Amino acid sequence: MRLAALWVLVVVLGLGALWPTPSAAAQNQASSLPGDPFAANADQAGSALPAAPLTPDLAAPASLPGDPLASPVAPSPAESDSYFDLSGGGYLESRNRLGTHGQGPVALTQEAFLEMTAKRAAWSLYGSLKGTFEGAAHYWPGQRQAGRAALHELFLTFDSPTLDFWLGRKTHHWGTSDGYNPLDLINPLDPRDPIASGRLLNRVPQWQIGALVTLGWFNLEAIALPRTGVMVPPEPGSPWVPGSYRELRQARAQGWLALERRPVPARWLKDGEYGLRLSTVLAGWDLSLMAYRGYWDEPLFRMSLGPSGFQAVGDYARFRAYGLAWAKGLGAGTFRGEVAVKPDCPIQSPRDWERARLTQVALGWDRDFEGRFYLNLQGFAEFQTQTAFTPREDRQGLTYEARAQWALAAWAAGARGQAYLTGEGALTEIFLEWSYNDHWKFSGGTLIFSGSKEGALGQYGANDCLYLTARFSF
Amino acid sequence: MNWSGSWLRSGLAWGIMALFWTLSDGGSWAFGALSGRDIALRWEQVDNSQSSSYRATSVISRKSQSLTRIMDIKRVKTPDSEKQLIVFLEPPDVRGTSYLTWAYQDYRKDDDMWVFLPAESLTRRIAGGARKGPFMRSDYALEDIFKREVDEDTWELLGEENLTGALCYRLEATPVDRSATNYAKKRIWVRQDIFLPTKVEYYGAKGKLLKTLILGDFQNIQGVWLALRQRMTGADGNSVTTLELTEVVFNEPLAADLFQPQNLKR
Repeated sequence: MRLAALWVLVVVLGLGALWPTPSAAAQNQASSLPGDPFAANADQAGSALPAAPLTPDLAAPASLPGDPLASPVAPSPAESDSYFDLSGGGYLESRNRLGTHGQGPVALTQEAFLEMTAKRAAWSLYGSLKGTFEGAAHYWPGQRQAGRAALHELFLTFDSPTLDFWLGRKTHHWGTSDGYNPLDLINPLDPRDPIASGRLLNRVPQWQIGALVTLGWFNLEAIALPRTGVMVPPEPGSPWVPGSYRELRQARAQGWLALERRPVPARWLKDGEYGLRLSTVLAGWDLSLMAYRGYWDEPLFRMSLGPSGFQAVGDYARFRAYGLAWAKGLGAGTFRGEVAVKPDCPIQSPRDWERARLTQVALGWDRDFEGRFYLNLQGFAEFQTQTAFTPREDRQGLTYEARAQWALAAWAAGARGQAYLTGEGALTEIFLEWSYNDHWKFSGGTLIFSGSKEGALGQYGANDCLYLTARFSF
Repeated sequence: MNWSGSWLRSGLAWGIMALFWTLSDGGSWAFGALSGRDIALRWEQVDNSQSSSYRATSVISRKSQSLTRIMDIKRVKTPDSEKQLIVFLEPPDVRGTSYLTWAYQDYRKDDDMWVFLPAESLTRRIAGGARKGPFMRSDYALEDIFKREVDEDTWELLGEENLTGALCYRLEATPVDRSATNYAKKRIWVRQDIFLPTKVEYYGAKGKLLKTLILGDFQNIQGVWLALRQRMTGADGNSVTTLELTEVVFNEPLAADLFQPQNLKR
């Protein structure tokens, strides 16, 4: 509640800053924002050199002799805006993943995506629709819904020098690390298609309201999800059902377990999620401090023995997170990292769910080698305190990407992935990409899950696949 | 009186000689004291605006392909840096992608650069290594698009040359830090009338010509001269990128928060 109250305070302060009181209006006229070139002393900057021959000359001729690219017509003045500045586009994509263990297709996803933006002065409205037909669903036991069309994002944005405000359904990314993002807490994973690439996850847009207040060199961002945004487990039969759910569902099917999942918390505001982020750029460092209070994305199960046998009840649990993220350019490379502390993090133990303090650290470095090669390496570590039923656990791992590109970046090939060094498994992707022209892009490769079937990544070992994707953008 | 008459005759003689010398070699006399660096500084001062915005349309012609990029570019000067925001409108697969750069006058200080990826709603810091790479598959490198401080190069005035009817200074720019750029040197033809380059040759290691840039359609807009058209040609001539600027506006008030990485969005 304290976080929620602070959030409201930020919004009120932001709106207050926007209100055109006489003194604020005077300050705006004086352009008192840092870095504003139209401040009172701005005319001192950029003054011409002594004896500079080019004083403003509005009567100058439209073109000069000896001009190799002279235009036959005078330049047109800037076009006046229409009432709305409209733009739109989208893509058609065929994303096909063929299993390499003889299990049939992992995905035969045919997708249409449409988006449109309307802008007027400080306001803009963005909307996108996504229609998907999952051809592989016919191969999955129990899977029924192959096609769906849904609103993807829809949000209204107000943008002013002191306050930005947005309202709607959108994806909002926090943190600076790659592939392992302990502070990217706003959008839950897409349960139908969680793996975008070897080190990138798909996330689902959420309904939210947010504000960004500029306070000198600092920016304070407040975000609220009025109703909780969590992950509903994948439908039975989907290849992305985690191993623990599969076991529970099998036990239910065999009749010795009653499986119940409580509904997603849906009380307005009371079951909301709230976050604050204070960020700045200081001497070449991107720094941000974050605080978040929300729901753990996955349901946690409590096992009990009742009169009719074993029962597992799934529920969603609250948690808090605090963190620091940074990024700094160092010569030709970038150094980035995150530290997150989740003091009451819910964890699943064999019989119940408990709470532990979870500390997560990610340290990464990436470098572009003259546009020909790209290398990204990141190490991460997790430290989980002991609980009543679970001993202390530490986990370490790394994420990586190595890419080469040629023919002016029309072709690219490489490997990327993530690997735990503590038994959770690994995901390796080898890829080849070809941008044929401005519209068509093709990619192919393989995704390989390895490691223990009990591990976070190893549990998807049956989803090893070769893939081929074609996208037409318009 | 005699003394005065002698002084007058002597002064008159010197004046006539000076006038004759000036008229016979006026151009050289007027700019003869300029060094290569002075000319580069004059070039830098041509755009004395505090901000600018324009739309840039680039067409890449390569073999049978034609690729089009359309960008909205906004630029603002601050006391110690120049900030530039590029927002892509085309091609469709990168629509809404933005590049933000803070280029510092102190060239020893690394530029700050970010990219915004709309599909992931992600703002990401990028580093200088990317500057040498091709800019959106064009014949331009990223470093050709961003501002380069005069003192990042040493400048030599090689002479004068009449290029397609315009008298030009011929300069050679050699990078102070060779590792920070693709180019071992650049040869630049700067027009003497408006102090803007009309041709640039880019050379790699061992003096190999990599590409040639021709600038033209020089226009004076709101008191600022600039080239509205550019054509970059690869050394083999098989790839050509043209760049055309439209909707150019100088000194338009641009909010400072527009150039903040936290504010990059759709």
